[in-house]
Amino acid sequence: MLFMVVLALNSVLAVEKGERQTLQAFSHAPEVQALTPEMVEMGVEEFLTLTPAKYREMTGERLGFKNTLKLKAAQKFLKKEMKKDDGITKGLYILLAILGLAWIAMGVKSDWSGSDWIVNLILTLLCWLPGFIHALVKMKDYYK
Amino acid sequence: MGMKKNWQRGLWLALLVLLPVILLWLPADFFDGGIIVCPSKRFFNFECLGCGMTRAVMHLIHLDVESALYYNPGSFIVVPILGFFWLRWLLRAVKNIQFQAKKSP
Repeated sequence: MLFMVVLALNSVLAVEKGERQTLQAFSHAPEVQALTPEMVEMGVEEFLTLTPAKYREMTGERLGFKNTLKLKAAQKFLKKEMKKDDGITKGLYILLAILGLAWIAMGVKSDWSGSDWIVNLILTLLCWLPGFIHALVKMKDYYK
Repeated sequence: MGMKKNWQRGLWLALLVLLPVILLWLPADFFDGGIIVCPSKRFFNFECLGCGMTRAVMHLIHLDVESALYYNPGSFIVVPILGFFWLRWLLRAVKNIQFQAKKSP
């Protein structure tokens, strides 16, 4: 019983994190409505890496000019939507790192949990450069 | 000195002839999975006007028009311009070699 509850909780958390989210979650958007039914059933991650060549491999049909443009528009829209949820963009992270405020970015990205932001704050207080290097080294953990 | 110049001209002509042959010989998706070299995309996650141009050009010269349009619609302007310059350089290189051959007995 407990095992089932844990499994259900895990799947709910995974959906919330966007790991198994399908495009149907964005079906209100006109960019997504314009897509073919095969695309709408895809997962978000899978859809973001979809190209006309991959579509041809999957379905055996050519996408066509019109649908190619629709695909690109939908991917752009989705990336924008996901960026909104992301909070701090990569560019802002680098800017904050240059200004010696990377610990704020790290804190926000990790919900102020973990020791990364504290370590970065201490390193930044040691004349900026160690903190800046630490921020750049840790950047790959926050932006995959 | 003259020999070196001839050698350089020959190499340039060979490069001009070989470049499109190699690009056409490679598969159209050869550059699709490569690393991101554009600083704007790499550091700021912002696609510039040139982003995807290599992939788009590669697909366009393989006549995969849809993929070219997907990666960068600007390739439809860039490829004819590149073709024009390639042809111009090629003709000039051939002319230079012919001129040198006539000059030296």
